[in-house]
Amino acid sequence: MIARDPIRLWLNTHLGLVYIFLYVPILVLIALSFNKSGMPTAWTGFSTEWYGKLIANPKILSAAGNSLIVAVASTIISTIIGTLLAMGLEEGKPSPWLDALVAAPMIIPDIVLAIALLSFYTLLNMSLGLYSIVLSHAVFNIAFVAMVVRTRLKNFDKSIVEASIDLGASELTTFRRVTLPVIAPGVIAAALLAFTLSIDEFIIAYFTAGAGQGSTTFPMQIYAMIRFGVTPEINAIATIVVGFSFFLVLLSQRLNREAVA
Amino acid sequence: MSALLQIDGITKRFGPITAVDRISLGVKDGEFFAILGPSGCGKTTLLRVIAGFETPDEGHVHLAGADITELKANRRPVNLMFQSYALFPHMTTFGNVAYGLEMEGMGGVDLKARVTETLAMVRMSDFATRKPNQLSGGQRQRVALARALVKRPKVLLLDEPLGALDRKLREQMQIELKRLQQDTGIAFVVVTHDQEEALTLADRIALLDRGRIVQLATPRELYDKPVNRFAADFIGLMNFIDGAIERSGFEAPGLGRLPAPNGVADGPAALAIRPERVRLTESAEGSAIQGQVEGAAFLGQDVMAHVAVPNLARPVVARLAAGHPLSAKLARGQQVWLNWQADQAVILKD
Repeated sequence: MIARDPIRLWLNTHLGLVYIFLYVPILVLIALSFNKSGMPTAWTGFSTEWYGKLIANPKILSAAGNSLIVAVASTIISTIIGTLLAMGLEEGKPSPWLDALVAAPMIIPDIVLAIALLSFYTLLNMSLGLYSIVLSHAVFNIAFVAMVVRTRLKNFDKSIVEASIDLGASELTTFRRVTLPVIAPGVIAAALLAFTLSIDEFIIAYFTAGAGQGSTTFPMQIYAMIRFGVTPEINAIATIVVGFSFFLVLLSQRLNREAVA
Repeated sequence: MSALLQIDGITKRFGPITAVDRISLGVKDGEFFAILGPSGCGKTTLLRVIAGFETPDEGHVHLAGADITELKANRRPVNLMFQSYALFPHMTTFGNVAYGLEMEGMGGVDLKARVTETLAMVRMSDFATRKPNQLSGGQRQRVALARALVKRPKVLLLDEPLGALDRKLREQMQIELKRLQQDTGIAFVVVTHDQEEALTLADRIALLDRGRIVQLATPRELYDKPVNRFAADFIGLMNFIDGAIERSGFEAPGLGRLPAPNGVADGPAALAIRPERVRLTESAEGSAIQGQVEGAAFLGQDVMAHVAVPNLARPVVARLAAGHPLSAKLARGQQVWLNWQADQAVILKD
């Protein structure tokens, strides 16, 4: 038998416990979403009927649709602005003040940002709706996108930009054919992150959505349903969201790894 | 004004630092020109002014008679090979080389033919589909060279072209650079801190120090007739003996009159003599100074002898060519005599 290193054994045990702590609740939830009885107390057999009920629920479907619209729109806005912001920051003189200002929306508690945005919209006499959620999500997503793209730009050899200009390219052509393709993995990873952050964001959306089913997002819908207890339908929704998020995280990590290689 | 590239009184300041200070020089068509100097002497800034990446504070750049001082970098018929090569990492070798031609609007068969021809010129035809990260340092250098050459610029600028290569590869690439320059007939302007590289490659060298031209001359002139101590010290190995010109002869304190060329005005001066021009003998006959062998370094063929001379702070270095009667039997502590021909020494007045 191989003599095992006791430290290694301890570390592995620790790692295992951390994973159990993190994932057992989620695994329980996934299991329950397939429970026939719908009760959290007893397993009565495998069933996908809750998923069927979910699809048949128009409120959930419209909320999911709203969330997709918000996530896609805020991702597009924040990816464009955040990428340009990152480029500008890397180009300009290093300033800790500017850095702090850019990072602030990531750090400020969501509830504070939510109240601030709501007050701001009210001040402007703006009516609320899906577009106000889109703008609000873009606010914090720009910060995340800028951060992710900047790490990519840090290892970016600026002489390739000069090389492109030296070879006769305009600045726009250089951006399109050299800069953007080289930083693309970082930009895509940033967009995926922005999308994930937006699709399950609750507090800010809740404050800036205004009234009515027309601007109810997916997390808001779940919150509304959960007030009457955790139903098996919610377990099913949660399972779908977990699967989807997991897929996005894997995708973004894979892209980042390729970027580094 | 027959020069292809004419630089007139270029000055470039960065804040309080004057990187390039009123530099003027001309590069002829088909010439291999080197800008040589230690780091921080302004050579890269000067190159970037020529390429169009820096706007000079004063002075003008003329190319083939036209003033290009205000012309943007992407409109100058000049290409730069970057020190880091700056290859586009997401493009293949072919894509990198084709890029500049695509910017001219070239495409199809013409483009393919020109890229293929240029890749053959740098012996990279077999690597056309590789990406830069699949190439070795020397191969990347060739791609960078091809990319800069493919547009057939009037002047090709090269920033420390061989700096990143190891010694063996560097020597091989020196020969290739020279061959490419002669084959294409394009004027090359190389920036380097490596005096050996400049001497080997260039037809003419501008030696820079602190933003100014110290000497602009052929390699031989620069080696044989340095104008001051900096030039003498920077190029090759040099022995210096401090003293003064008195009664039209060179006098060193404690050593007396030493062989030196005539025609230099009286006053403090230094005598400079190359190690290979120092004659080392065992007999005092007709010799200038006596010394004691401090050590000898075997260089593969020649021997470098370090001779301590009384009244001199640093030992005099003599290079003994292969076959020199003393080269095999120099012993530490041995008494030797040193001499040289008067016209092979240089008197420096600064």
